[in-house]
Amino acid sequence: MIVVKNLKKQFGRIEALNDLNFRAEDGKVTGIVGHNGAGKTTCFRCLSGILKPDEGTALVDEWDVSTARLEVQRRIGVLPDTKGLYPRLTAREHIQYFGRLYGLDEEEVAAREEILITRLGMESFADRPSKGFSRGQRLKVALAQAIVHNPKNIIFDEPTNGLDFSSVKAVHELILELKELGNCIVISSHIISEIDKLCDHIVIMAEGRDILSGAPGDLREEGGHKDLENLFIEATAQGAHGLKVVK
Amino acid sequence: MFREIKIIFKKEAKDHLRDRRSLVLSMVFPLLAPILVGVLLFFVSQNNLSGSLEVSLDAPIAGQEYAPDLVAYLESKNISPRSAPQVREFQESAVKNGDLPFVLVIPEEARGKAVYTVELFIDKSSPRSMATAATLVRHLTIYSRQKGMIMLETAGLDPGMATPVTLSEHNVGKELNTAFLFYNMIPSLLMFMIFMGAVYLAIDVSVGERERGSLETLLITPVSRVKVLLGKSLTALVFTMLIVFLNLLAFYVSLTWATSGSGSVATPPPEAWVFLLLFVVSIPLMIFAVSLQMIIAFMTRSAKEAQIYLGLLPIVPLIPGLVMVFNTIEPTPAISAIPIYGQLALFIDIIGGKGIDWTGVAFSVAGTTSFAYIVFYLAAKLFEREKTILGAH
Repeated sequence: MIVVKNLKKQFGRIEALNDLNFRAEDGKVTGIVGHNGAGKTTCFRCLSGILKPDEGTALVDEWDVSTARLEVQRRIGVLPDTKGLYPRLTAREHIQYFGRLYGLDEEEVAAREEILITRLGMESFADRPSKGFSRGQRLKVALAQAIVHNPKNIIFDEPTNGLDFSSVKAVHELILELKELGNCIVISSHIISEIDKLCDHIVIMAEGRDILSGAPGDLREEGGHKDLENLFIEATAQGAHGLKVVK
Repeated sequence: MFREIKIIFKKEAKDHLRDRRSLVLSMVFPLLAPILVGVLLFFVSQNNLSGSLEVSLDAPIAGQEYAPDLVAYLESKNISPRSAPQVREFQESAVKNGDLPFVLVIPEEARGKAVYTVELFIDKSSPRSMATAATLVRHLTIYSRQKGMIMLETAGLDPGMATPVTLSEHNVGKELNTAFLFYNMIPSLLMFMIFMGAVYLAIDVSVGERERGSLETLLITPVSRVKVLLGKSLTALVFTMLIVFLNLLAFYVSLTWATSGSGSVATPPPEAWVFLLLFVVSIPLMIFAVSLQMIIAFMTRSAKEAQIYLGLLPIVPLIPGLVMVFNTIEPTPAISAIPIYGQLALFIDIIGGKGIDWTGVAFSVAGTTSFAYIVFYLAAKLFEREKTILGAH
């Protein structure tokens, strides 16, 4: 479970996170939506221990990332915004490298490597250096290395950005499968239909804070809209101008 | 404790070994200076650019028939007289054009005379002309003095009057010859290799990884930042050690080859164990250099910028190194403890055959190790900064 309370993060004069609050339960998919610069990636970087919050707490299974970074990092699997790979390592070697860094022994690494290569359909390129991989292939490798240690809490930052239809479908299936296994999943996306389809809980962000949150059905009902896309546009516009914040 | 460091080291080493082009370049790089220095030394020793008395020489001499005693003396000293142009104009042009290194002219007036003047045409802008003529001039000076002494004795005077003041020189060090000028270059060239050897690897594993976007993924793993930095630095250190070792080995092989068969003109290089000692004493400096490379690389905004700064880094130890080729610093314990200066002073003494000052070696290792620890500590602090990990926000 992930709990974010009054999280604040500032870069110079820019307030990237300004009193952000949300809760992501186990066995559920929580979607974070917001315009570019809303603070989604900064929030994920705080949760994964890359950035240190200025104020507030970010808890993963009750471990505070500010005081127990390594404990938190053992319990989460993160697909970051950057998704960079090592061009001279094969897909299989990426999985092995991160498996070892997450503390798995050689037997566990070998077992997880086979499961993930099969599950993500990487057989045809598993032993090729990642230089020249397509966007979909790169994403599969990044996904595999994020969940190689079978983490309970999963954060995917824009997991389908720029992918073709079949790759998007494969990612959606993986997210739903991980949810079925009881994992706590947090994803961010620009695609409202994707969030609507996958998420049990939605947090709409603007200017570094949560301006609206709830189950997709509840949000539609509360907002008086049937279309989640319009609700998002209206909420972010109102939230941004401080006119009306629905919570 | 060391498991994660080992994992990162193995991955970085494997990654770098697969970068064939960089690998081949980094292995060829340390051979260049030893080959160049070796070839130059070979050329110098074979062509007697040092003006030694003990070399054989072909000497173009015009008017040999006018001073047969002088010619016979020169022949006895392995100077082989060769024919030379008889006309002054051609004598000048032959030297000027480089056809002959010099021309010694014995004038007709010298025939049957005890006192006469000989002329020497040389090209002072040509090292070959100057060096070969130097040998001839030294023989002529000795011949002239001996001849003067005989003449004084014949006249019933004290032969010592030919040289009223005699200088008796006592060299307490090693016999200086041309080879030592070349050997004195080794310490500064070695410094260059220590600071430049694995610089591209240091850039690749630091700012290069950040630029590729994989550093963030790596730092999300439950491995402390200092261990990540240690794993990366260790890779750069091992490759630096490999390159420096190759560099010293190449120096030993190349200089041994260059001086073999040159007699006393060029003294052979120090023995292999001296080169091994240089390597061992250099290790703390390599740790210092790698830590410094990491700091500079992480402080830059891109790999390109890091290349510019780190390309300039070896100039820092190179400048005092080149100055010290001609002006040696006495390696007191305090100087020995200073990174770069300490090693340079020690290396010049060791290479120059002055023996090994073990106190200096101990101070050098302890001093540079302490400095290296401080620099690595600063690098680790820098690596904790968010800006270092993500670049400029």
